Amino acid sequence: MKTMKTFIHISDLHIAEMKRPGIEGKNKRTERTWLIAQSDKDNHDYIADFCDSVKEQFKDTKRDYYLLITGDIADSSSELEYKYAKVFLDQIVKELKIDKTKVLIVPGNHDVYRPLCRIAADKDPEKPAYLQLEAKYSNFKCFYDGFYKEVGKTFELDKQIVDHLALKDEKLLFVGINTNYKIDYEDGDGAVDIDAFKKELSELCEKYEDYSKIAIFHHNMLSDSDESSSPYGSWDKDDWLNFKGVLERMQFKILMFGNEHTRASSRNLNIHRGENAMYVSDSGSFALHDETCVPAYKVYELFQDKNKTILKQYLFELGDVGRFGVRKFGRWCKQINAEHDELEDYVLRENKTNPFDQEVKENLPTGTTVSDSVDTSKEIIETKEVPTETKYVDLESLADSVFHDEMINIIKLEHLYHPGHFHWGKSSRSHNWIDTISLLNDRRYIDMIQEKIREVVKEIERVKKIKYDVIIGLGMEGNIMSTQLLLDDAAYTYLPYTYRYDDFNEFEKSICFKNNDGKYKNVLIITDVVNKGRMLKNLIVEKDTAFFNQVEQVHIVSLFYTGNYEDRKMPVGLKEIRNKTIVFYSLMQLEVGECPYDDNFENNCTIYKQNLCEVYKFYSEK
Amino acid sequence: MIISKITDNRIAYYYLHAEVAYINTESDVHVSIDTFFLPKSVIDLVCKDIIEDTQSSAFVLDFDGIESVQVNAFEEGISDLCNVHGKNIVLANIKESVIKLAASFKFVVAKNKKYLGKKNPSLYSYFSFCEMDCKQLLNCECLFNAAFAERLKKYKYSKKMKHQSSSVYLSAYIDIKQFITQDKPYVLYSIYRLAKKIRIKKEWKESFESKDKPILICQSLNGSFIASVLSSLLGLDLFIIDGIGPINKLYRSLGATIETGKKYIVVSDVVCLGTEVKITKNIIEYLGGVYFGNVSIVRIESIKTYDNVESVFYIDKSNKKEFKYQIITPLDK
Repeated sequence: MKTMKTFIHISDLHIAEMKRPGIEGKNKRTERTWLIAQSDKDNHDYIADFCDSVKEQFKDTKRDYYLLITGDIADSSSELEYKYAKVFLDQIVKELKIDKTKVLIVPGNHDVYRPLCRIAADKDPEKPAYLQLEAKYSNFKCFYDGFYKEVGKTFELDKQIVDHLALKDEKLLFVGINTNYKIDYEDGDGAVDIDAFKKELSELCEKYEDYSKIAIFHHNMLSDSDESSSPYGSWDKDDWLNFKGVLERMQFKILMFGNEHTRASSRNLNIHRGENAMYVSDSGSFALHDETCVPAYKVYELFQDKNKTILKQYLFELGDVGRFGVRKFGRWCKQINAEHDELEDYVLRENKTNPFDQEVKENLPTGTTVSDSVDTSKEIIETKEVPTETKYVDLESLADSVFHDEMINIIKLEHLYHPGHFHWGKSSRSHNWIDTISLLNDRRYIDMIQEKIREVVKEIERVKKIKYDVIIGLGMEGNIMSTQLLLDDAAYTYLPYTYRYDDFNEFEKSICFKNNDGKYKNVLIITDVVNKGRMLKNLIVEKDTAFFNQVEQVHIVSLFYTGNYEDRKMPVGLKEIRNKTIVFYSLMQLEVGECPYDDNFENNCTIYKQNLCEVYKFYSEK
Repeated sequence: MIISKITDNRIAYYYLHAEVAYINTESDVHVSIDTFFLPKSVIDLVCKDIIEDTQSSAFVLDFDGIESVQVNAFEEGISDLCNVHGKNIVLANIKESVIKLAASFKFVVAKNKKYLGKKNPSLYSYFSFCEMDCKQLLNCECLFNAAFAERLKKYKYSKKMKHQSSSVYLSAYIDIKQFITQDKPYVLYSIYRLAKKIRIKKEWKESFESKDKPILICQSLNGSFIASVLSSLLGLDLFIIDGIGPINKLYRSLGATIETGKKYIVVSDVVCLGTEVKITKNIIEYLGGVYFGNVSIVRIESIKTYDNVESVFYIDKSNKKEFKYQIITPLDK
């Protein structure tokens, strides 16, 4: 029987002690949590019932469980609370047979020990209270190190990334982040030391470049509670923007957190729909119960088929409280996601063997001109160590319906749009193609396109306050479109399309400029068509690394963009480029039909196999 | 960007018609050989370059092909160079009608009669603002060829290698792409000169004046660069054949095709034995077009042909030793 990887997400246990030291009377929190820091049969039953509900629900197949805990394990970070936290967590890992290396814990703001933090701050007024790390994490660290003793993990006080889980076969990376950077004895908002975080994340992600990434942390990035209507959840706006920006650039797919005690899930983290969308999932509180919150937990099953890699979500809530025959805390019931505004699944990867996986060159009749809306996120100043910052070109002023309409007319008039099967490589195939070579035969059209390209480039230079060091024309088409740019001061060179490299000699494939001293920092590439952008990625990352290693910014201006609408502002291939600022702009957009078959198309595609129509091959088969 | 400046023996020469063929201002780019007016933007560009040049002792501005100028800019520019910056300026091949546009220049005529030379009543071979023996000045044609030869040697690699299109070995490889990328302004000047040759070539001249203008064909990456610039300069259509050289791998073309009866000029970077040109010629003729000739940046005069050809530069018996260029067959090895 195949073992299915299954991830259990719990948060905000708020294990509370009955009486807090120095405080009169009973700890009122204990009235709102089912997990009390005392030797209590109810605690044991609570955990046992939870484990049983997981086992019952997922008994159909053999499971490899992982446990993700997004903070606020203790209610006041006392030693006693953590003593029982270890007891409860040991019970879980034992019942569900979870190896401790598969448990990922991050602290929450309630895991900061405030009394000691205050004392330390008073003793050392020069240092901000939130930087009294030894004091604030004293008890949490004891708990953490004790829990993980057998596996040798310790909590590092000054690290932004607490821990990570890497699943090699599934190419999945969970990154546990400490968002308590600014928490002190007076609490505070979620934050990380952004510079340190960028550095740590960059180093970590270098080892897991092509993994789908999931961020695990405490402070909610969006608010589903009436208490707070802030779009930034429990974060200060600037910190939220900085943090989100880094996660976007590193192409995190899912953010899992807690804090607000209200479970929720969503596809888009607030901003532009469809753009670099990150899923968010709040599991709610595991043990708190009152008028506003119901204990809950989530389970994600990992599904992989030839088309997709997804996490399928299951929501469990505690219900039937007080019902006859049921324990006093109720029982765990699986919920219907749709009825609770929860997502069914999270798509990590779409594994289509699309036509433009390696090198892409699509041509298609044009649609709308590009007109990017303003990216409202704050710009982050990048250093060379920081991974890719994909930027949108805010060039609404360039949206040119006249140019667009003229191009459409030309395409119709000259019959430049061809249906059929077009192959640019074994894994680069499309239906439909637009003949840009023929477009660039007529002097009138050449003039029109050259002028437009120049106009766009000048506008980008003005908006981005940039001067290009070198311009690269891709293919014969790029050479022709770039002619008016030759009179600029920037150096110029040209290269063949990478999927045709075998058809060119070494001199033609040479970029002709040495860049060991970093002389060429800002590069402009002119090309006729971009689909997924993988050919460009191939060029920048694999073919000419000696040159591009020192390049800081790569701007691409394409005549046509023919990929998915969602990726029109930054094709997927370009998003995968690291350590550079990438800007992409296309004069016209229209999606092209992708070949729906995988690399076994020769057997699966009836049209190809039976020679029902001509297949046009634009590459040499080896 | 100045493209035509050549310095010889501390004298800097500028060929202004070439500068006018490529105009790049903030708002506009204009690339055409069919322009005979010297605008302020080019005058300012040249004057700025002269002012910044502290090495040359004299500056020759060749007005060949210039019919008219932006008067104020011309007059003030030249006057400033001479009187304010103390530069030694000589105007070469300048029409009398242009000189007359600048009212103050008549004083120059009066003062420096011996420093003026006339080829014919309407044209000054030189018009000097300084005391200089202008008979020693070289003409641009000689200057260009010498300068081109020197530059070409930088991009020639002595490397015995098999020619990719033909079954011969070459003793050297001329890397036109390196030339283009490292010496862009000079290459633009070279292509301008090629465009001029094409325009005035006796066998082709008539077709430029008709509606049936020739079409430029390019069949390689280097060729596409050259053809695109030529196309802009001459206002000609292009035709791309994907993949005849250097590695011969032709790809199917769906749309554009060779049109019956149309004239096609093949644009090459370096023509050695002419194999790629011949392949292209055969394709053109097979599909019903008319092969009109071949143009290139460099042409090795290996075998005499009767094709209409033009090139920027020729390597032949007279200079092949200078370039150490040899074509070797397997029988010679």
